[in-house]
Amino acid sequence: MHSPANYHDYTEPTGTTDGVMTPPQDDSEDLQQIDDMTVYKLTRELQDNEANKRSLIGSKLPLSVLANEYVDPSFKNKIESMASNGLYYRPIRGDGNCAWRAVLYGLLDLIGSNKEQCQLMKSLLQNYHTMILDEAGFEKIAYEDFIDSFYEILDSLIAQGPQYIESNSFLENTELQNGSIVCLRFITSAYIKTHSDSYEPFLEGESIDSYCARNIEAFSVEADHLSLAALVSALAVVSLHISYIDGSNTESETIHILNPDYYVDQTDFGSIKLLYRPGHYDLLLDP
Amino acid sequence: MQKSSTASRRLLKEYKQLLTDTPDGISAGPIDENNMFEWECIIQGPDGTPYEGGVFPAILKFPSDYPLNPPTMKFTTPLFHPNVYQDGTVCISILHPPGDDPHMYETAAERWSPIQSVEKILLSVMSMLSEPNPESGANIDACKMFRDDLPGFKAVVRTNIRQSLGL
Repeated sequence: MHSPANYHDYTEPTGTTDGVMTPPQDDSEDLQQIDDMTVYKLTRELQDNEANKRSLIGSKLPLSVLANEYVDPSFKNKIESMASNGLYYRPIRGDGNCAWRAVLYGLLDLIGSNKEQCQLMKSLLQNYHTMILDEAGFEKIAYEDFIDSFYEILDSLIAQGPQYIESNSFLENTELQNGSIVCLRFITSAYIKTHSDSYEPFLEGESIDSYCARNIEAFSVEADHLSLAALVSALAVVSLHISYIDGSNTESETIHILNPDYYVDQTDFGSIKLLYRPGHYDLLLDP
Repeated sequence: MQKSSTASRRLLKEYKQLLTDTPDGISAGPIDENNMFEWECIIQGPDGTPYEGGVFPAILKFPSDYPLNPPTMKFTTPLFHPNVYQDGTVCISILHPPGDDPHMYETAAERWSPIQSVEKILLSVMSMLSEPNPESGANIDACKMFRDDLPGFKAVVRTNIRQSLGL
């Protein structure tokens, strides 16, 4: 199951004009001269520039704002029907890490106002999750910095309370967020490797190690459904509630609920809600 | 972009680990210990290959978000090899994240991810010298010669080595 880094598949809703790439001018003679490496570098730069124009984690907005961006009724109607339930969303940057970043923020949002839960999450990372990493054979030098990034966020959340994750020192902190995303990726990979019997049948012949290396451990590769199911079980403290919106004729969104195999020490912080549109995840929030 | 402290911390740890436990035929470290983002490494050509007896210096440049993204590696003396561009830039799968590579190979070869390390790159380069991969070539002339005229290929490599050693 080869899933390429399809992190630029996120299509702008019809009706918006920002973020539209300008087609290159037709210099077909010049284009024939440039080699694969140059084409690749230019494409990569263009994609990165487009992604970097968006916030890592955008402001909390009513879902009706998103519905208004759509003209296509199949999308618009579904989002409007969700908006009527008073849901909010936070747009997440489409850089290939959106599902991971949305889950990171969703988790911090669930526990942010409860210091005990933040402490508990810290101690689980230190004991339970680190144990899975060790069991799966991850080298300490490869993972310790990323666990530290997650700790640092949790420490600030404990010290400053829920306003920390509303502040720019968190929202614009690429290094801490991305480090914590790698931490989530690694524990997900480690969980799959230590529960290979449950995951192998879904990999269509690809080895567990290859699947994890290509789809999970590598930064900026978009999460597929299997990765998210494994993430939930690896965290073992939350469930995921994913609303799928697509161009089909149905009136309402399709909902998938992912529960962990078990909750570690009966710790259930609640449910993280994600909004999926083809190629992209955003975070859904209650008012 | 600001150099991240996570990146320099990680590079320092890797450097220390390499100092205590260096694989055979390899040495590597920062050129200036105040800048962890640029290393020089020296690779000895593996025995029993056309590169035997050669000593190949290269520069590793690390991105500010290392190890989320891989470094680039460029040999600074001529190295005639199917997987090394004429300017010395190394093109092997471990230096590319999945889905992120100009040759789009569909092989299961190891790609870059944050679990990789400088040591793993250098070991991959050693095996690149032992087993060139002409299917995903960076130097087309070297690919063709390696496939069609192995004695000629070896002669070019040997000449380059003698020149770089000043013989």
